Formats: sequence, structure tokens, C-alpha cells
Amino acid sequence: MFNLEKEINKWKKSLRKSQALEDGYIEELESHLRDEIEKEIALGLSAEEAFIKAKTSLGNSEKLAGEYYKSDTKLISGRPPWHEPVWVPSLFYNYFKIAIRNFKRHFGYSMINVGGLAIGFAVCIFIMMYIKFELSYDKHFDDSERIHRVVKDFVFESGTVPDATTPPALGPAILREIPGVENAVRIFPTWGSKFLFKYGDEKFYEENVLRVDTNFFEIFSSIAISGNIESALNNQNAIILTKSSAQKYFGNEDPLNKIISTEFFGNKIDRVVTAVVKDVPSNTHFDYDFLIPMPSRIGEVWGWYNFYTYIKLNENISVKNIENKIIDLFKSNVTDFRNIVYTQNLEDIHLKSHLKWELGNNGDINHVYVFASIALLVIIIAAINYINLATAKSTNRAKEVGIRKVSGAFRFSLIKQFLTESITISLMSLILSLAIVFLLLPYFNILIEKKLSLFTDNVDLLLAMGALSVLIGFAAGIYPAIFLSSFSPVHILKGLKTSGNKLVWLRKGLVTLQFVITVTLIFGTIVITSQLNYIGNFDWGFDKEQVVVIPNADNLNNLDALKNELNKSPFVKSSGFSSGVLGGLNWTTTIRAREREDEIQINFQYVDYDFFNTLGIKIIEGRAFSREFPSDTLNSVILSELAVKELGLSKPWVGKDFILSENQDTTIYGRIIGVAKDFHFTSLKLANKPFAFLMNDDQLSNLFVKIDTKDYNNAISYVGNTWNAFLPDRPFEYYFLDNNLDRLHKADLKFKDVFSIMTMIAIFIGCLGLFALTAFTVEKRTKEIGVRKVLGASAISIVKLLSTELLKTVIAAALIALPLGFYVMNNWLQNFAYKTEISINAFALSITAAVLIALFTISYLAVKASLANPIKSIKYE
Amino acid sequence: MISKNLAAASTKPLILTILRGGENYGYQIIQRVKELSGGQLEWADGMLYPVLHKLEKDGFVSTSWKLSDEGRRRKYYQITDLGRKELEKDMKQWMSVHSVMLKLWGNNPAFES
Repeated sequence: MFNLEKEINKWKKSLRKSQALEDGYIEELESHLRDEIEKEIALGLSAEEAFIKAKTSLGNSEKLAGEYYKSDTKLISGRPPWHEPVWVPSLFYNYFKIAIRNFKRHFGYSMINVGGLAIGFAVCIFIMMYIKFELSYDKHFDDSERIHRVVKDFVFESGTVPDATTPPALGPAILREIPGVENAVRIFPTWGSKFLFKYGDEKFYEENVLRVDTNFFEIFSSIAISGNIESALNNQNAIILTKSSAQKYFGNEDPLNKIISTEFFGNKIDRVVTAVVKDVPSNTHFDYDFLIPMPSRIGEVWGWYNFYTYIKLNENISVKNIENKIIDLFKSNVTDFRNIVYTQNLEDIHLKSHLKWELGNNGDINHVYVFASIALLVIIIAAINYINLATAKSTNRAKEVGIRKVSGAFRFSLIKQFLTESITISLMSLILSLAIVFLLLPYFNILIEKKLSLFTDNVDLLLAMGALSVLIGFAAGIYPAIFLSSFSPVHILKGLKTSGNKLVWLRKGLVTLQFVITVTLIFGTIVITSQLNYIGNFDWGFDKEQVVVIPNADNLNNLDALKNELNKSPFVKSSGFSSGVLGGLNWTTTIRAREREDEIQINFQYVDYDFFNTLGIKIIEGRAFSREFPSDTLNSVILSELAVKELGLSKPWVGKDFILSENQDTTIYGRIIGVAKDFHFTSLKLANKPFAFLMNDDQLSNLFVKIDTKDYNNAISYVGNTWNAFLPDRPFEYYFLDNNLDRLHKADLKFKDVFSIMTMIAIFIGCLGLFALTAFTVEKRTKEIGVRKVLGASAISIVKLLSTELLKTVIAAALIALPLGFYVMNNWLQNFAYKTEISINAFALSITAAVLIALFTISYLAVKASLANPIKSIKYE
Repeated sequence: MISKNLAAASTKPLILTILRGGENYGYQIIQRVKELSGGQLEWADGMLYPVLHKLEKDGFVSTSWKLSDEGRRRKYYQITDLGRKELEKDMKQWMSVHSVMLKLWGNNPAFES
């Protein structure tokens, strides 16, 4: 039955909720309402209908209150404090306010959340910047998707050797004979030899010189700073400089039309600068400081694999068809052609091509995958911290949930509230992480040896991170939100405990997951480090320490005089020459045994009499080259052990001969005078290869000086002075042989550095979370610990009580993580032909490290709790 | 219908003019406005009261509580001298706007009711 008075009272009550409506105003409004009701009843409506109509015509009470407030306030906006600003959806303002209040109230815990997440985001941003850079290689060239490199695998009886080089005849032939190819360009690097460049008093050895076809820029679009690059290579004596090299030689002068005198293998040419181009972008798979035209003397030779061939296809041409036509081209020009020819898209070269003789140091797609996974794992660890702390603290929020529900909040609006909170935390972390990235970017650039910038190249990445942080906030907040909003208000407000069993299990599970990740990362770091230590201590089979290499020693007349002068010094033990450098560039050829058809590919060097002594290469049978045997200079060969084995020769090896080279007319035999103990000269990722030494004074180009002192500075300056005295025209340049060998594994060392830093960060974030979670449980158990102490528990037993649980978790995690880690790292080790065993120590060390880290993290809290005065603990709450 | 902004701007002179004819209470004022405008001018009824409250604060109207015949307390509003002056000012402004409009539109106002 409708009771008008009751309804009017209810309506009045709803008006009283508003602070703007005073009693007088309400009475006036009520009298209006009653007048209206009476009028409507007089017109024939029922009391209920009249009430509803009158109430509606008076208008929304909240708006009304707002108008009253506006007429009272001096604020310009006139927005009453209980109204959210117009741009915020309803109640979000309040959610946000509560989130900030909670943040302030639990400042320590919140900072751990925000800090951990911020570090995680920072790691993520760094890694994404790195990945984005790696993926951007060569895409800056116009139409890069239509540009391909032609490469091939050499096929030998013993197997195939993937190799990036092609003969000089290929490019022009493709352009002439294969339709669908828009352009083809050849690149001919110096292969380790150096140009001597002179301008005025400036005189430098330059290695980064590419000899290219005149249409180079039609495939590799570049930006000219001065000169016309389209015609710049037409003059055979032209030279193109990059901006930096122009700066190096000409400073602020205009380089255009200046003459640079060049010398290469005794060949002197005065070259005119016809253009200056921008420096080669660092995300290019090759690099150059100078470009000069391809020498015209290079004919259409099909057997000289020293050139790179790049082709640009017309639009909508399938590269597969072109590949087949290129193979046909080879077959019609080379008799008995067996090699496997294929193409690589320009954009894929940097990350996916690992052929012999790459033009530059390529990256590795696997590193991209590994770092992407690490970024993901770090984010997971940080997100778990949030989930754990949020659910652990849920009981603190239970009352708030109860009150909100009693005041009419729906479950959905509570979920919205808690999600707002976690997304707020996540966005705050993002802002903090940007500050971290901004501060640490220079160091990160040093670490990865790149020049990345956050705000110029990576704006899209920042937007993605914004989206990602909202997503992380959502993912981390959704479970706590659903859980918290499920509380029954009656239970909470009566003070009944909500059952937390399921939650405890969830938290344990998540902490275990964190430890699985950290133990795996620790294990990975240990294996990677021990492999690189193994490489660092590897016995290469020759003396790599204290050997100075002077690379520009070609075409010298007075070899012996120079060596004698050097050897006079007490700093110098011995010195010798060779044509190549172990760990650097060496020549290769194919040889075969007399009775066998199959050829083996072999690396070789021409050396002088003192080379073996200087590098300490051991002879296991026969002897080294010697001045006492004048015939040594004629086809006498010292082979490595591996070489004689591959040739299939049996002991004694000395005195045997094999076919060194052959053509239709003549066959040249090599005579073995000695066999060298096996030594290594390439990356340890590759299996060892056979090697040969011959004598030929004309081909010597590197001087090796073995020094015998710790006083490097004086030794080097002595060698330098001697060099300058003998060869005043040649700048003295040198490097140490061991540094050169380290270069072979530089990428792996970088990988180790980045991996271990990421691992440490992951551990740190995990520890932050563990610390906060322990702090929280210890706080919850304050009373329990007090009671235990009163009943006679010792401090040690309390510490034990608090740490046993954790130890169990760590051990359980290790049991999952170690097999996983073993599987992954064993796969990684397969990259190396020479590898360390994963020892039992690596497992033990990983577990120990994890246990120690976990115990160390909670030790402070556990000890503090165990030493607390029980009286205070019992009084707590 | 008259737009919200125009209606809001016209509220003050409207109320003051009605009160110039004698004291009145909120419900009656609203009825008068509805009557005069023929339904062209419509607010949510309640919105009048904050306006009256504002006029009182500004000193344009004074109020007094009186007991009605039904035994209900009603708040009556009277126009003050300040209110009359304010009304004259408003009237001048409205009339000058009106005369400009009239000149512009001539005798052919382009509206249909």
C-alpha cells in the first residue's frame, strides 16, 4: 500500500545526503512538492502517480544540490567536491584517490611494487630498444625488400662450406642475361690489406675501403652531402668519402675535387674526391669509410671468389625463379659446377646469415630470442610481486570492501576499483622506469656498443610500453580484484576471517615460479661463464701472449736487417714474418693426396725462417724451415697434424709429398718436411681445420714480434722507433695477437655480460618481492612468535621456523629449474665445437646460490622477529 | 523550445518582474512562468530554488516564512529596491538587444512557432 508521507520522508532523507542542502532549502522544496502533488491529485491522479510526477518535475536531487552549491561557493568551476571532474568517468576519481591513499599508507610495500615493476619495465624497454635496432638492419635502404645477396655453399667431398663470396663475372652476367633483375652491384673489399692514403701531411692506413660498381647507389641508397653521387664513381680515379672520413682528412675544408694520393700493393694512384656521403648508418650489415670504383682490369672471371654480389629485382618478381636462373648461369659458365647457389634478402642478412666471409659482424637472431625471453621473465617476476603483495594484504582491505558493498557497491564496480589501483601502480612504475632508462641509457649503449636513443627513434616503443604497462597492471590486478571483490560483507563486518587457504597456495605457487625462473637464470649464467672461461683459458697451440703484430709489412726489402735490429733489444725475444694472421685472415687452397681423388680445403700461410720460433708452434715430426736447407723455399711444406690425417697419409709423414696445385699442363707437388702439432686459428665454435705453411718472401705482409717483458710501453716504443727508422714512409700500426683472438668470441662475451646483468636484475626484483612478502607474514605472525618465545622457544628456533618453509620452496623450484636449465644450456653449448662439460658443480652452485640469496633476503626480518621482546609482540594489535 | 543558455540568462529578469507585481512563493512563481511562456520556457522545477537563493544572497529579493491556509510553511519572496534597480538595468539591456534584432529582421521574423 502506498504511503505518501513515508515516501516523502524517504525523498527528504535522500536530499539530506547532500552537504549543500540545508534544512530550510529542503523544507521549501518539500512545500513545493506537496503543492504539486495536491494539484495533480486534484486533476485526478492517484497519490503514487502524483508523487512520482512531482518528484520528477522537481529534478535530479544531486544536480539540484550542485546548483545550490554553485550559488554558495566562490569556486570558479562551481564543482561540488562530491562530483568527479567531468573528464573522469563516474567513481574513478574516488578509486584513484583511494589508490593514492593506500599507496601512501603502505609506502614501503608500495615502493617495492613500484620499484620492482619499474626496474622490470626498464629492462624491458632496454631490451625492446635493442631488439628493435637489431630488426631495423638495412631497412633504411630504399626498396630493401627487393634487394638480395647472391651467396653459395662450396661443395667438397668432405662437406659443404657456406660462404658469402661470389666471382666477379656473376653480377654483370646476371644483369645482362636474367630478365626481372633491375640492378646488380659488386662489392670488392680489401680483404685485410690496407690502402695508404696521403693528403698533405695527413697519412693513414685505411682498411675500410670498398671497391664497388658505378651503380652502387642505385641499390644502396645513400644521402649525399656534397657532389653528385649518381656520377661520382664514373671516373676510374674517383674516391667517395663519408662525412667522418672527410672530417679526418680535410677538417673544415671543402673536400670536393681535392686529391688524395693512394697506394695499394705498390700501386700509386692520385684520386679525386667526387662526393661526400653521410656516414653509413650503424644498422647496416656492412660499413665503409671510402668508396672507389671497381678497377677496370677485373674481367669476367668465374673462378675467383672474392666479390659480393647484390641484386635488386623488379617489383613482383619471385626470387626463387631468379635463383634458378642464376644457377643455370653458373652451370653454363663453369664446367662441373657443384656448389649450391642461393640468395638472401637484404633485411635478413644481419640476423640470419652466418656465412664464412661476412662483410661485417652480424648479429644473431637467437640472441634476440633469448633477450626477449629474459624481458618477459623479468616482467613476470615483477608482476608476481604485485599479485603476492596484493593478495597478502587483502585482509587489510576486507573492511573497505565490506563497507563499499554495504553502501551499495556492485561486485563489478569493486573489480573496477582494484583494477584502477593496479593500473595506477603500473603506470607510476612506467614513469619511474623511463627515468631509469634515461639515466642508464649511456651505460647500456656502452654495454651493447650501439648508439640508441630513447626519444628520437623509439617513440612508437614508448607508446607500446604504455599499452604494455596498462596490460601488466590489468593482468597483475585481475586476480586480486576478483578475489577481494568476492568477500561477503556480512562475514567481513562481523569480523569473521575469510578463508585464505586457496590464496596461500597461490602465493606459494607464484613464489616457486619466481624461484624456478631465477634458478634457471643463475644456472644459465654459470654455464655461460664457465664456457667463456674455458675459451679464455683454451690452449690454442701457439703463444698468443705478448705477441705484437704489425700488419703493414708487405713488400719489404730488408726483412732480415729489420728483424736483427728488433732482436737486439732486451725487450724482444724474437721476430718473424708471415702472410696471414692466426685468428685473422689466411689464404685457402685445395690440396689432395697422390692416390686419392678427393680434395681437401686447407688454410695456409707463407712464413719466414723465424716464424715458428716466434709463435712457439711445436713440430712433432721433422723440422721447421731452416736456413741450412736452401731447398726449403721450393715447395717444402709444413702441415698440421690434422692436415696429414685428412690427406690420409700414414707415418712417417716427413718426406712424403702431395698435390699442391694442378692444371692441365703441370702438377706441383708439395714435400712434407715437418708436421706441426695441431693448433687453432678460428672461433672455437667451429671444429678445427687443417693448416699448411710454405715459404715465399714476396708474400710476407705481417711482422710478429714476441716481446719478453712486462714493460709494454717501452717495448712498443722500441719496436715503433725501429720500424720508423727502417720505414719512414709507413705509419707504425700494431695490435696484440691475443686481443685479435679475443675478437673471435667478442659477441659471446657481450652475450655473457648482458645475460648476467639481466640475471642479477631478475634476482634483485625477485628478492624485493620475497622481502616484502616475508615482512608481511612476519608482521601477521608477531603474536604467534611472541607466544612461542614466552613458552620457551629460542631465537634460533624462531629463525628456523621462518626459514624452513622458504628453503622447501627453493629446493622444489630448483628441482624444476635445473633439468630445464640443463636442457636449454646444453643446447646452447652445441654452438661450440670446443665446449666445457656441464659439471655437477654447476648444479650444486645454482642451488647453493639460490638458497643463500633467499636466506640472505629474509635473514634481517627473521632475526629481527626472533629477537623482538615477546611482551611487545603479545601486546601487538 | 528556448535554448538552455537563453533560458538561464532570462531567469533573473523573469523572476524579478513577477515579484514586482507583489510577493510570491516558489511554486506560484513557477506556475506563472509556465503560464506566461505557454510552455516555451521550461526548467526542472527544482532548479528555480537555487536561483532564488542566489537572488537572495545578492540582495535583490528578501524572504519571509508565512503559514499558509493548509497550515504549511511557505517561503515568500519580495523584491527589494536593489532588485528593482537591477531589473531596470536588465530591462534596458534586453530591450536594446531586442531593438537591434528588430531592426535586423524587420517585420519579417524568420521563425515559426
